[in-house]
Amino acid sequence: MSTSPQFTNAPNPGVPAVLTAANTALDGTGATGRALIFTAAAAHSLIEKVRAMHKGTNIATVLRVFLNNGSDPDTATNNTLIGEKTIPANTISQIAESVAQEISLLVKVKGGSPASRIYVTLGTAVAAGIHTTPSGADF
Amino acid sequence: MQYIKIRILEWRDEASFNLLQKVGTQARAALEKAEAARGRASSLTAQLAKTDERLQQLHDQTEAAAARSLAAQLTNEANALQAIADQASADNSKKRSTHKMCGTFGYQIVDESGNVESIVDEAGAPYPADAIYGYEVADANPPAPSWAKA
Repeated sequence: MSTSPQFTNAPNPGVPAVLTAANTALDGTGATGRALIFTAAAAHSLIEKVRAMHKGTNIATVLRVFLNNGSDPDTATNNTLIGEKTIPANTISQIAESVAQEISLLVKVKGGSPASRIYVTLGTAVAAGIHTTPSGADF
Repeated sequence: MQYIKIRILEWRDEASFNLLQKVGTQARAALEKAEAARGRASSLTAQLAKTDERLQQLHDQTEAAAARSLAAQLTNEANALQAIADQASADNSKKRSTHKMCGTFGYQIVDESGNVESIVDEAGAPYPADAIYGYEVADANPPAPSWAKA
């Protein structure tokens, strides 16, 4: 057991992704509409949150976040659903903001080999897309 | 009411889901065995490196040769298991994207607030409740389907 506190020492911005297709699976399987946005560094990482922004006019949907253990994400037992957020419908405007949505996670992501990963999916297909941006750091 | 035309890209019903889970479980078991074999091979190699010098001094290479051979065998075993796992995973993905529903069209029926009320096939019938599927927007603003209420 560690007797001293550990702090993150380098930002890990992950790989932001735009989602448009839907994936109705709640087990993280299925390549359609699933995006890899974060991979842990060798000495483990911390993902603080995922931010979702509309990229135009979209119907309502739900954003799902899955923690994968580093093995094949198409095997259900390798994934865990760790967060969901309703994304309300949006109509594009040049005079009014679209409302950003955030999923607060604060999850430690195991590094090493294989490194754990974070995937995101949408529950319904949207026309313009949802931009998902992770925010995290490495130990 | 708004209709958004969709195209199904992946589909799983209960029967295919059970089959895929079985294939997935086999792939996972093979991967776990591969990882265990790699771990043993790596541990043996590290152990061998430590004792190699001493064994050379003793002019006794029998033990070292046996350990080397076992490490090589374990690595081969791990690679073979990895290939099985990769193949199972590829089969899994292929089955999911070659279901007869893939490539068919349907509609998301959206209310005035932008919420999806239901998802139906091209004839207006709801998809089975136990189906899991992936789809994309084929046409965001299509003409209303013939079965749509005026």
